[in-house]
Formats: sequence, C-alpha cells, structure tokens
Amino acid sequence: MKVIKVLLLIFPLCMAIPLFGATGVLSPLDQVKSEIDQSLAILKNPKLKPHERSQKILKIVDSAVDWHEVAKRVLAIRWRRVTPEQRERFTVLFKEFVKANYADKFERYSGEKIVYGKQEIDEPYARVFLKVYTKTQEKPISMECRLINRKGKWLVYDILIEGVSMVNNYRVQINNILVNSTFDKMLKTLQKKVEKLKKGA
Amino acid sequence: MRGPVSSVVWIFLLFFTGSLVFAGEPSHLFLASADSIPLVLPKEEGFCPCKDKVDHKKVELAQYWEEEKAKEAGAPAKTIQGTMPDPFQPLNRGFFWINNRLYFDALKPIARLYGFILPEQVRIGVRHAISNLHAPIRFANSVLQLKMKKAGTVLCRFVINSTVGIAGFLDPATDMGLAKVDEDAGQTLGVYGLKEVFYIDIPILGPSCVRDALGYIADTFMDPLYYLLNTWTYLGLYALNKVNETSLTIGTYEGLIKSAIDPYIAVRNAYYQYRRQLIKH
Repeated sequence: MKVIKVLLLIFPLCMAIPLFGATGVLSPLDQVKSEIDQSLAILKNPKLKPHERSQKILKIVDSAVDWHEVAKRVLAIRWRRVTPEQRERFTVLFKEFVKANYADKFERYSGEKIVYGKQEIDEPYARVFLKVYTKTQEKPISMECRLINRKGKWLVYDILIEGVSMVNNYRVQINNILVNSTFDKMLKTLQKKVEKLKKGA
Repeated sequence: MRGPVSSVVWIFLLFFTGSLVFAGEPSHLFLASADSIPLVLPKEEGFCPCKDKVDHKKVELAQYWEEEKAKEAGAPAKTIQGTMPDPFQPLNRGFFWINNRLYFDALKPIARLYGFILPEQVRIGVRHAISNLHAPIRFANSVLQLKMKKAGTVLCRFVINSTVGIAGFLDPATDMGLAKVDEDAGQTLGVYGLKEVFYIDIPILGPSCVRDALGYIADTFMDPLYYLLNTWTYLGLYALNKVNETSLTIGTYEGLIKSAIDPYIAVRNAYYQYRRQLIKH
C-alpha cells in the first residue's frame, strides 16, 4: 500500500515537471517586467543600504543581459578579427565598465512610473517597448529593450532610450579609438575608465 | 507695463552668455544621470582638441565596413547607423570643449540657483507656458510634413492649454490624452529627404548639423514671437527657457558625459540617433 501511496504522490509531481518547464519560459515582455519589478522592489526596500541595493540590482542586471552578445555587437566587425582571448578580455572588461557606470544610478529613482507597451517577437530576437513617466520630464521617456532568445531565456542585448541605442553609441566610440590605435591600447583605455568610475563611486 | 518685464529680461540677459549652451539638445535624451559630478572634467583620450590627429577618411571607411559587417551579423538593419560626416572634427571638438565648460561653469550653477529659488512645480509651469508660446512652430511644421493629425493635436493643445491651462502654465491637454508633439523645421527638412550633411557643434548653441541649423533659422522666422517681441526680449525668453529647462534636467547631460569613453563621440552619436528617430515619427 505504501508503494501505491508513494506512486500516487510522485505521479502528479512527474506530470507537473513538463508543465513547470512550459510555464518557466517567460515571454520577452514578462521577462523584462519581472526583472524590473524585482529591481523596483529592491529600490523600495527601506531596510537595505544604498550599497546593498545597488549590489542586488547589479546581480539582476548581470543575469538579465547577454554580455557576450553585447560585446560582439559593440565590436562588430572587429569581433572576428581579434583572438578569442582578446574577445574574452573585452567581454569581461565591458561588462565591468557598464556595471561600474550604472552602480550609482539606481539611487536616483524617485517613484517614476513604468508603463509597459507591446512586444514584438521575431525569433530569436524580440523587442519590448516601455515608457517611463517622470515628474520633471516634459514627456514620458520611451524605452525599448532588445532581447535575444538563449536556450529558452530572453536576454537583453541592447537598450534604446528615446531611440538612442546604447550598443550603437559605444560601438561608434570604440571604433573611433580603434581606427587610430591597437586593440590592446583600447582595452587599456577602457580599463582606466573602469578604474576611474570605481574610484568615483 | 514694460518696466518690470524688461527688468526681468535684463536680469536673464546678464546670464545670457552662459545660458545658451546646448540649444536643441533633447532634454530627455538619457534617463541615466549622475549624483555628484566634478566641475573639472577628466581629460579623456581624444577629448582635448589639441591632441586630435584623426584620419577622417579612415574613420569613415572603417565605420562603413563596420556597419556592413554588423548587418551581416544579423542585427536589424534599421538600427545599424553609425554616424554622420564630421569633416571639421578638430574644430568641433574645440567648440565641444567650450560648450562643455559653459555648461559646467555657467549654465549649471545658474540653473541650480534658479532651481533653489523657484519650486519645481513653478518651473514645470514656466516650461509649459514657454512651450505653449512656441506651438505655432510645431503647428506649421506638422502641416508642412502633411501630418494633419499631429497638426490637430497641436492646435487643440494650444487652445485648451491657453484657456483652461491658464495661459499655458498648466497642461490639462496631456491629461485629456493629447500628448505634446515634437516637430521642428529640421525634422521637416529630414522628412523631405535632406540628410544631416555634416555635424557641427555650434558654440553656445550646442550639437547640431547643417540640416538642423537651417531648420533652426527657419523655425525662428516661423515663430510669431520673433515678430511680436523685440530682439532682446526674445533672447531673454530663450535664456529663461534654457535655464528653466536645465534646472529641471540637471544630471542628464552629466550622465551622458560620465558614462562615455569619448564624450565628444558619445554626444555626436546620441544627437544623430535621436534626431533620426524623431524624423522617422
């Protein structure tokens, strides 16, 4: 009888596994929404110190972004020209750069309202549109998150604010350095910038 | 009645030289902003105009290649736009440096003081009122672009905000679902196919391009206030708008500069992308 009881218990659990799998895949919009909601919950938590808040949010950012894709798009053609080791160094450094850049920005949050718009999916790419309502801006700020499907999880690879793509902006900046310099020198410049940002934070 | 008005105008004119920086710079370009910004900007590589030895042909060619390859990599083609021609880059970098200093040393301290005196709600009201006065420019450009729905929105907003909105200080039209329309002559020229031609960082006025500079001149002539007010009052109103706007968006420009590897290129590219986006809509 015990065996039957155990089987009866396990059977529905086994049935539920694929279901869990199916519900575990979030749509791009739900994915972005859940990440923003988690971040907002952290920002609104008065028990946390500013340092703890930014650490927690950066962790969410870390897992929400496809850093490899970001680095690849920032380097564009040069991605193929450099060695895998240089690619890896750049990816790590650029990730550090972005995180150092935005570590203190979250603290400026002052109750801005986020309204989610539509999502467009064109596998493996997707776009999620949202608007941020601030008190001091004349109009809501339009934002667009670009995501890529990586093994069932939608990861962000670019963010556009009022039509200005971050990846595009950094790509032009880095390209401008690379035209008159070497890849390693560019890495050094980026490294210096990261150190400066970390000191300032 | 002219006495108090002109004295207010004169007070703003005193600050005028420092306050006209970055005209046409979209105030809501970036959400990112910084808390405390040092007044002295770090000397970035390639930031100082005197160090600039860029081979522009090489830059352009590399840019072109990069865009092509990025397209191949599967990125949506529309977004792979790099930059506009910048044949006077060394000169522009010099002007960028000047404008940057004007922002940090003049406009920002003035805007801080102004923001300290006037409550935020009043400053938002001033923004609405000045914006409302410029409605004819937006109306004319919407019509020129044959965007009649937008022209209707501008007209309705103007009527509602000028009356119910107490001379434009309030913005009840937005609450009624009539959001502000952004149209200017630079966009009109863009809609009819004129490209940027090349980038110019205009001293005092800020980032622009040939197309938008021409548009700016056209907008001035389209503005009824230009004919109704005398030149100094008109410039004073402009200065007031600049200081008011800066006081409401302190941190936006700093955020962009701080997060850049090369601030000049970052601003140029952000301007390019932002204007292209506006023309598309």
